[in-house]
Amino acid sequence: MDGNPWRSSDSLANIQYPSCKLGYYGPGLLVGKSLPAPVIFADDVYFQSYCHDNKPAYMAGTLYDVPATYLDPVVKDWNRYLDISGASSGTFQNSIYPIIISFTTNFIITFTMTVLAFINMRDKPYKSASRFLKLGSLIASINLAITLSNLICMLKDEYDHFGIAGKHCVMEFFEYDTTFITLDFISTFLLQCCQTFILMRTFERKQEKHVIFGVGISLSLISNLLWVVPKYHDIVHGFSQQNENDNWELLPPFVYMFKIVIAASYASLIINYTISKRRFCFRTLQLAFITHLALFVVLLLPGFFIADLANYWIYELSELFNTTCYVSCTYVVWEWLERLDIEQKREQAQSILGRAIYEDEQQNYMFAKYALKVQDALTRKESSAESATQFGMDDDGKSLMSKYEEVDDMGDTRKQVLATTTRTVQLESTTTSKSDNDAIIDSDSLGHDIHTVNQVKFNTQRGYKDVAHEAFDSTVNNVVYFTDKVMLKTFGSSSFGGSSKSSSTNSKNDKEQVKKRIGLDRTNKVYVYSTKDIEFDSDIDEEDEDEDDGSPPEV
Amino acid sequence: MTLLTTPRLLLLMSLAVTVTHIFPVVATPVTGITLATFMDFSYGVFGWCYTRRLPSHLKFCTKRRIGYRKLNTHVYGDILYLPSESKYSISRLMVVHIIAFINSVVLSGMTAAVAFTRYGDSPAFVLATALVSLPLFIFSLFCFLVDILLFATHLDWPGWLMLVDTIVMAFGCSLLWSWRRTVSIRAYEALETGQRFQLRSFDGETGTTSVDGEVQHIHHRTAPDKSNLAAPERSFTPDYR
Repeated sequence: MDGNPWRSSDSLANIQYPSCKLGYYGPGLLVGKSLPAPVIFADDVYFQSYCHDNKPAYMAGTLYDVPATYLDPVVKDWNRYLDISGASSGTFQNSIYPIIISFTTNFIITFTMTVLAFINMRDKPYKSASRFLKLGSLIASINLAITLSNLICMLKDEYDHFGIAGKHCVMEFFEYDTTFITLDFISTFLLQCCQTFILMRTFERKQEKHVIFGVGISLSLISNLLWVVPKYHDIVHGFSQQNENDNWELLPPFVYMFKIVIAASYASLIINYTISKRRFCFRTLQLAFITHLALFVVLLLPGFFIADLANYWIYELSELFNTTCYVSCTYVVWEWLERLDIEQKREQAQSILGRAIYEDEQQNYMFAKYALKVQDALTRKESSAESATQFGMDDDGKSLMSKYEEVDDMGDTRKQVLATTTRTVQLESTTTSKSDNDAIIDSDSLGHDIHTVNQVKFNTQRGYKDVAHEAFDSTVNNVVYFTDKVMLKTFGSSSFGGSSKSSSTNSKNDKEQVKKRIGLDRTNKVYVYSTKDIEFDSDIDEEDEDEDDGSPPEV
Repeated sequence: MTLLTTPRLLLLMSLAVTVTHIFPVVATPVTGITLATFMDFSYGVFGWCYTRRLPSHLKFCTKRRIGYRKLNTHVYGDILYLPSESKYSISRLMVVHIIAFINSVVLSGMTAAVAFTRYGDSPAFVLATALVSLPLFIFSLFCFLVDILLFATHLDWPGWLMLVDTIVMAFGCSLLWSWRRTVSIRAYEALETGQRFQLRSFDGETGTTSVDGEVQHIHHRTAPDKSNLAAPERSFTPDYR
């Protein structure tokens, strides 16, 4: 390529081929339709082979039924043309076909990503990021569509005029076409901004978000401006390579490496995030696959640079692949984060606050105290309701199942209140009684330990003994849970299924059903963040009943 | 007290990075260390040298300046060969070695301050140190890229050390940023604990107060007394409907 940012011009580009010049071949027989007669004997034959741009051209088609071959000097020159190395070689990989194939592949990948981005991406929590990504990928695919149609037109013109289709016009197009450069600049900038937003997503503290935003946006702005300015300079003033000491010449390789550095930083941050979230990343097969894909895609741009050092040919293709790399390493990572988020939310939903709270957004343990109070209140209410029906088995046995489900989910009976950073300060609300006699009496009489001590405890390394004990407990619980499930499914349904229902149990069942629907059947699982107004028909009935009874409304 | 705390580990890492950044800067025209060797040429940041062993030993180096140039002498060495056929002007990008070296010295100073002075308790200073570590990672990577662009696989050990530096800095950066979190939490805890201690002592409670008041470190266990927390008020319970 002409505008290679760092390599010196190819010394083999100006090699001379004798067959391209007029040569004397002596006397011979001429056969052809354009001759005055079909067969002529000529005394002195001068022949010049067809060359384009001082390089031999060879017909790609195969001749059948014609015993004639190319002249020896032409075949010799052609073999020489194939043998030389570098960009001016005539081998298949330097021809137009790999470029066409890779370019159309790029177009299809980018287009698919764009469609997926428009179908899959929610606008909700990260509005600007999703819009940047959609706009960026849309511009990128429009750009590639325009370029592809232009290229095909150019190739057709070249073939019509010169009878060959070379790659040089394609490469020149990428260097000098203003539309392509402008649209590429805009889309790359938007996608890099979106990458910044993605990185902001991976950091949860506000201050770090601000730092990432400032550094990321400024880096992407600088790199893209520095990239586009020399391009426009070349278009306006023409490409010059004679002045070795011109500082201007230093800019394109600098920017190229700058972009590689940014891509490598992005990759290392994503890898860092993957390592920190490795517990979630490989939980399901699908998630593991997307994790691998995201890592691969993120390492693609730096990888192309390394590959380019080994092979000149790849550099040209890496230019073609650039847009696709940016689109894919933004979209795939986004999708991966979305799925990871669901997994994380599922775990965080088991805590009272619903997400991690950091020290820069809380004061005086506000959140922790709040969470403990909510927990306390709920435990009390639930237990007073439960104490009545604790061992009174439901008809379908659901309450018992839910109890065991709870145990199964948490691993043990202690519930975590996720209040501060998972790494250093994690608050745990343990509802263990104080091992006093009072507490035991209370828990026996009321079915609930009112004198529960809510301990704010920081998460420290637990001893092996505790871990082993917990593992044993959870195993036992699991076994009990599955045994019960099997028991209830096989025997329970048959024995309880046909039993008649009284009206009082009916209303109680309805209440339980509503509670279960809203998600309040589990004692310690409170979804503070989802305070949606859900009105069920059964709710209204229930309220009426409550008013009649004069009892406080159920939460 | 442990000998190798996180700030000291950070200091060790940044010192190691500083030392490795010295080698390319003092390479060939200055000392005998070479950044890369190819045929009879040896390269450094400030210039290149030509060494001929046969028929007679001959060695000459260019003047110390940034960026390679051909020499106008009429010996064999007047043509400069670069292993990667790069343009000579690219060698001017090797100025990043010097920038990286200065950056690493600054970072070492700051991590030393974090490790041994009271600046280590200030979240703002640790944040500043963390921010200084980011360009060092970028410049280390940049140094490696420029070297490999110019000399391909003919790099000597000072060049490959740049790659090691990049990896060490990636680890160091994440360590420094997580240390910033720890310092920030610690400052918050100290502030909160101080306030709580005062409040408790005014309440005149004994027993639990002494336990609560001693909390100075995040890994300690605190037990807020139940009178504050146990009784739920109606105003605190959220409306779930």
